[in-house]
Amino acid sequence: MKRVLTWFVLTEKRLFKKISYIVVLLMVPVLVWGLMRGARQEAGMVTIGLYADAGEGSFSEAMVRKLMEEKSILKYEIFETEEAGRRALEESRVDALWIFPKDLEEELRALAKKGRIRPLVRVIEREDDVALIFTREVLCSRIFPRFVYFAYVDYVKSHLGEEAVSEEELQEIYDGILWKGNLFSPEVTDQKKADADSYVLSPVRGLLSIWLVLAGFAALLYYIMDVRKGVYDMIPQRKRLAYAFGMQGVVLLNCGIVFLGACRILGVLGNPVREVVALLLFLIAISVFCTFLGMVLRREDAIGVLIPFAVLFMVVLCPVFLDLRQIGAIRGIFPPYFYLKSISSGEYLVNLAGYAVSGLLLCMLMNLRTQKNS
Amino acid sequence: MRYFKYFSAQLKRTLKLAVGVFPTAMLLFACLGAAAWLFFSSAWFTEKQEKYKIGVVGKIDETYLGFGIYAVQTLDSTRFMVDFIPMEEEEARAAFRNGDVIAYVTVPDEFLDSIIYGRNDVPLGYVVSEGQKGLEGYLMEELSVAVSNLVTSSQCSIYSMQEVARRLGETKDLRKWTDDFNLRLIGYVLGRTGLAELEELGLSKGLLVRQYYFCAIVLLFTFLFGITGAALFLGRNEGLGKWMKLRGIGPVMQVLCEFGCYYLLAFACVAIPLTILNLITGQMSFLNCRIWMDDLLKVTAVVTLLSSSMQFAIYETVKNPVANLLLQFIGILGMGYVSGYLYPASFFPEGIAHFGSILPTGVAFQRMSSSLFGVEEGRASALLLAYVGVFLVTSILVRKWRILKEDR
Repeated sequence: MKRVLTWFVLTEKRLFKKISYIVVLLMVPVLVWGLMRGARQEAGMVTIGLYADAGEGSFSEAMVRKLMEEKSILKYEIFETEEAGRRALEESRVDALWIFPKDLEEELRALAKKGRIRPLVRVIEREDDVALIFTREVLCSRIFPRFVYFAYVDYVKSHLGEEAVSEEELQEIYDGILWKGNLFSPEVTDQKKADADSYVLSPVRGLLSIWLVLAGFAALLYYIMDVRKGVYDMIPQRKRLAYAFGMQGVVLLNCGIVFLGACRILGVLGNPVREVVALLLFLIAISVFCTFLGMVLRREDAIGVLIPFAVLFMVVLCPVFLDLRQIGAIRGIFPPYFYLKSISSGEYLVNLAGYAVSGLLLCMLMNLRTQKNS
Repeated sequence: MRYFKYFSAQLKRTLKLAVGVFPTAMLLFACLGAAAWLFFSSAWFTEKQEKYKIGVVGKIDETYLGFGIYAVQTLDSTRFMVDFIPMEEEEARAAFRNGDVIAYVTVPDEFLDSIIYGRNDVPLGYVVSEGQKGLEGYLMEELSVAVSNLVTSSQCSIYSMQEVARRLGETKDLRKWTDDFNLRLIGYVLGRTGLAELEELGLSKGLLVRQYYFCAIVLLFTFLFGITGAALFLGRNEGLGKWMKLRGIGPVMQVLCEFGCYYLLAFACVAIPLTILNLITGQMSFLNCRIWMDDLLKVTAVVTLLSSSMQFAIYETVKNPVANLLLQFIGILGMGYVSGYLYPASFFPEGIAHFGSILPTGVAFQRMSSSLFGVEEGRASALLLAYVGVFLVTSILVRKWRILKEDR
């Protein structure tokens, strides 16, 4: 045990002796913090230009103001004139321009009275696509409540008499009943998870988990270089596997701590026990994954070629940006797949443990075979 | 002559690495192509070709909700976008995991009662992602607010009308009025998109999604491929620089010769698969435009110059393999992320988007999109050359410093 501890301390010392290693480890939380600061600025997947052809205090102007205050994945920008908005659209500074008429409220009232719908807001786009169809749904869902309010006023007046109830009373009854919550609620599988504040930050945890896999590859290269230099010549073959895992363990432990710190800054940590257990299993899975590849490929250049592709595949196949579920089980080759899903699902946590244990057994079998052959 | 000899020796070393690198690169490039194809053909990236399938779990037969879904499927404007499929919970979960539905909605038994009696305390559950919330989660959230607005405002209008009637004691025809008003409101909900009038300018929006991600994936590949240089540069004998200096080859020529060979390898590894792709796809016809071979090779030569000079500088500065690879990753994926390689740059706040555009990854993106698709490039070329200069000068200075350190 003492020897293991000494080896651990010496390896740590060897790594931390290099300033560049410390700098790189510190860079991660600093960059995450920087990204968080940057992400506080207004951002949107689609930018909508707004122009209200009406003065202050009008319904159109209030609608524009309300849209600006909403927390949404759409970003809004107000324009003083229609021409300025059109120019911004032509120059691709906005994706669509919504032009609200002078007397939107009165027109909605008139439409409700007639009982039919006709276009009131002009939507100008360069070219229509699915994202912009989606934004029009958002627009209509914001105007619609005022329209149905007038429909209600009209219905009451036409069926119960014009003077039966005053407009103020009708509004008061409506406001008293109106429920302002969301009828939908996202379902979580089995634990409350902490999501990032915005979609800009949501892939950061996934990217950092791939960074951890790269740390595993780096440890593997470091170990292979040491073997080439003859550092482990005195160690019998049957014990080499333990040293390979040991090197992974040292590097991954350091990076794992940095990872947790970065997630803490990001505010995406859920239940601490669950997070630590999932991370430990993930680190074991990474070291198994990298060691197995090291045993198969053996050469630094082959591993060097594999790394960029492994990174690209993980970015696409693991649920970092999109969860491409139709691809199927092949995604389970990469450890971040199980880890990122295990954050909220016990089932995937068990799968992650299974991955780690079966990988470990596979590596041990491979090592036995290597011993026999040598 | 001695410079040429040094260059030849480096070239031989690089070629030795290339023998192993090329076949693996080609094989993996083919796999990457398959992954990219899957990525583009996923439901979120297809443009108007495929309807989004959403599973609905719960008892909806012979209820207003069932009627509502039927109406949405047959009458509503979203019928061109969404297909609702009634399912059992297990079936929905399996379909979701297989990617057969992009999301599923669960309708609790008490949901309709809660709507009918105006309590709204039993929400519809939806599952759009497992694990962390991704892009789909944010989109679904926005859509749920829109749908919720439509339902609750219509519901409120009906209850308000009933309340007024009750206050006035006019309850005799209330049921008839409620049904009548309900039908009117359903008509209004279905016709809601008529409140907006669409005017299309018919102008192109710049890069198409496919063109955008083509540039992003090629550049990500270009930058990441530099990691293969690890076998060339890491774990090298540090005394070699000093020894070569004693043989009359100074740090400037050392760096230029080594960089030259590394650049040639990087260029070949990116240009060859791209050339093959261009030939077999009929000048990249899948990008809705034609790309000429000389344009493709020219831009590849320029962006690999930038990527390889950046990576050469990292290899020269950080010699520890662990720190080096971790820095490469942060450098490439971190910069690539804010430069819009993974999310489109327009998704980011202005500050981050601007910062991303002046980083080496952002500059390379502008250069590539302007060369291949004619998008305005701004100062990209000048910045690109400036970066190459800075990276090479840094490499030379670091090499000089290392040789001096060896001397002491």
